[in-house]
Parts: sequence; structure tokens; C-alpha cells
Amino acid sequence: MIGVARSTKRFPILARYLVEGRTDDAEGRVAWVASRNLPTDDPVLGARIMRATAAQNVRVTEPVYHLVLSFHPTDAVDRAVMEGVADRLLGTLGLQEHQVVLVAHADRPHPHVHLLVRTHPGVGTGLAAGHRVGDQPKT
Amino acid sequence: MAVLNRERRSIKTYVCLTPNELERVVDQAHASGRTVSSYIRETLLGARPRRKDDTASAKVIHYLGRLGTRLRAVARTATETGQPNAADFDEALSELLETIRQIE
Repeated sequence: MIGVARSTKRFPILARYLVEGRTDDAEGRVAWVASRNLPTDDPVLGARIMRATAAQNVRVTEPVYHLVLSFHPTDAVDRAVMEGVADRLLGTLGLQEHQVVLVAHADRPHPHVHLLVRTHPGVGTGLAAGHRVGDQPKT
Repeated sequence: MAVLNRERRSIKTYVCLTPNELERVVDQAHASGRTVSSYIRETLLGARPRRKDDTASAKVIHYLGRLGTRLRAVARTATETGQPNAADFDEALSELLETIRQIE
């Protein structure tokens, strides 16, 4: 499994891109969607709620933590396994109580799932170094 | 407001305000989506920070989102435990989500 992460401030734009893609490649792109600590699994609506919540704290300038979990094409992973790995990762990062939108894609040979995490005011402006791009473990 | 030539903001200054004045400043800073420090600095330097138009609706969406998250948990428990009114919770959650969608 490979994890890649970056921070941004664009909740709904990112969510819409994950669902629809850049052009007309939306069909078959999304394998499944889910959420954590949100009232809906709709990625765009969930992202809108996350943005509204983030707006309550003006100190967090990059409230979106975008993680991508990718598996090897030969890994026999189904939705339950992918969600389990995602939950384990969120727990390891101390993000299990954060609002999260999960969008799994089926548009590549390798199964992968995107996680949009709203960083909590208690976390500050983002996550500590070591959880950023290039610092993720390759297993 | 940008700092020229990477100059550090190393000097602190103090301004005396009445409690009412401070409350107004804090409210206006939050309404403009800025920290109190940024708001005061920009205002002192001649800027007029504008009120963010979506501040009120963001607050409503935020609180409805919190309510919806709790309602979803209740609905899930009701379904899992076979409560006769489980469908009512699902319906209430759907209505709440539709309300959020309709907020401009």
C-alpha cells in the first residue's frame, strides 16, 4: 500500500473532481463512496458541510487533508478491506473523529481510495511533518 | 495584507478599547473571515475588510451538519436494533440534507 498526502483549502472543487474527473471520464470512475462523521455519503454535499465547518475557524488556512491510498493491481482488496485500511490509517494519524469523505476509484488498474479529511481546529493548520508527501510509508 | 521583502512583524503595539469596542472588533473580524490581528492590522493600514457573504449560511450549514451527523447515528442504531420508527429517522435525515442542499 502506498499513501500520498497533501493539504489544500478547496473542499467542494476537489470533491467534484474526484466524482466527475476533468472531462467526460465520469462514467465508471467511482467504485464507491463513504464518509465518516458526516450526515451523508454524498461527496459534494459532505465537502460543502466540511467547508462550512472549517469556516468557523479562521486560523486554519488549509483545512483539507487529501490522502490517497493505493494498492497494488494484484492486491485482492474489496471495499470492506479498503475501508478497513482507511480507518486504520485515520486512527494511526489520530483523525478517527474528523469529518472524512472517501471516494474509491475504479479508473486505474490499481485500486485506490481518496480521503478528504477536514483538519480539526485542535490540530492547528494541518498535520505534523512526517505525514506529508514523501513521508508516507511504502509497504 | 502582504508583507514586503519578507519583513518580519516583530513589533507589538497596544490599543486600549472598551469591552463593547472589543466585542465589535471581534465580531467584525469574524464576519470578514479574518483573525482579530489581521483585521486590526489591515484596518489600521487603510483597508476596509469586506464582510464575507457566506458567513451566515456557513454557520447554518455547520450546525445542520452536526445535527445531521447525530441524527444519522441515531437512525443507524434504530435500523440495526429493529426499532419500529427507524424509517422516521431516515426520513428526517433526508429532509435535513435537502434543507442543506437548498441553502445558497
